[in-house]
Amino acid sequence: MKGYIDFWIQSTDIESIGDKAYVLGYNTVCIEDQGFSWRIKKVGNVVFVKKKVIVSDNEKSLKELLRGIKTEYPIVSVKPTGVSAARLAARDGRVDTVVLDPDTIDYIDKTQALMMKRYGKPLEVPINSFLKSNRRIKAMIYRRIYLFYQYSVPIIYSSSASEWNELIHPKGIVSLIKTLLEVDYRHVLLSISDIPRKILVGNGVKV
Amino acid sequence: MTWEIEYILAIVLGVYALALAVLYIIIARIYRKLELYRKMVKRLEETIKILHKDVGEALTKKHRLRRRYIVFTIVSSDKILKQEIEEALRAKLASLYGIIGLAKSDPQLVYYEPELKRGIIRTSHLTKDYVLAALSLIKEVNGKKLLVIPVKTTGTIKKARKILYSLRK
Repeated sequence: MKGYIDFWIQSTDIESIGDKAYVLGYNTVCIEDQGFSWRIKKVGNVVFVKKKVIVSDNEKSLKELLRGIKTEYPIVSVKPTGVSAARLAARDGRVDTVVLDPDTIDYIDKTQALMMKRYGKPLEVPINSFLKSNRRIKAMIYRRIYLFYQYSVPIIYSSSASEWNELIHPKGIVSLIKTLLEVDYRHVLLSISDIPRKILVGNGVKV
Repeated sequence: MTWEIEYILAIVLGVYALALAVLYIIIARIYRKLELYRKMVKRLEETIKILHKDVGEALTKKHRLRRRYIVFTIVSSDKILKQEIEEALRAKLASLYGIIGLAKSDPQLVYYEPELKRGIIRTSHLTKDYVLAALSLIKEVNGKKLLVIPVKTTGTIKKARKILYSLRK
């Protein structure tokens, strides 16, 4: 068994996150950069991969932020807060995922889905931010996820946990998405195992 | 004159015989076709009967709710009581799937060991996923941080207990 992958964790406490993630069945965790000096680190049985989340509202600033980023960060995600940034994130090869959360929801639309489908760019859905948001935003996120699912765009579900108790068991993610979208559990399993693994392997991470 | 009459009679008889033969052939063919149609109708009737029976059964049959037992463990540094976890689960289920979801799933904590923080939850096979999702999303109980890990789902309490005891080792 190759284990599951949590694509986004925001905590600085690597040891406790590593222990709990291993107990939950994760073997690889992408952790947002909090001033770490390493790119990839193995703590116990869990591989930690440094990740950068870029927030940008226009194409020019995003281009500047992306310059030379892959030398330091194996995984790069973009939170587009503007249409041009969203479109660039969809077509740029340095960007690994586009994040769907309450801040970016207005710029993730049908055109974005078509572009992401064309370039094979996955959509990243942080489950905790989905659960924490209000009813209106929840409905909007649900509609976006369903649209991307219909367009066959690869989707990655991550926890975006800032503490160890915010981690979510893979079975929980599968059950939640299965009941939410009424899809087959195998489709959701791919989103937390195979799709993120391909990205990691493509960026030179051994998992 | 007589030979002419005989000749005409022979022709008439010949035509008559020919007409009879053609009529016989036509009747035989129609009969064969009718036989085929009769067989086809019979087969169709049988199929309709079977279909009607199946559909009728499917419509009238009431599906039994099968029980599912979810073995779980809790990761926490604090002591978690049975009541606390049960209330947290019900609250999470209600917030995720609403009152109807909670009523349908009706999770029951049938067994819980507070020292080892392990237990068994009973629910139905239709709402197993609701309970699994709600269990995984419990993060806090009365200010105590925790993580709930659903270990295994079984169909009998005997097997669930077996799994629970195997976890001790």
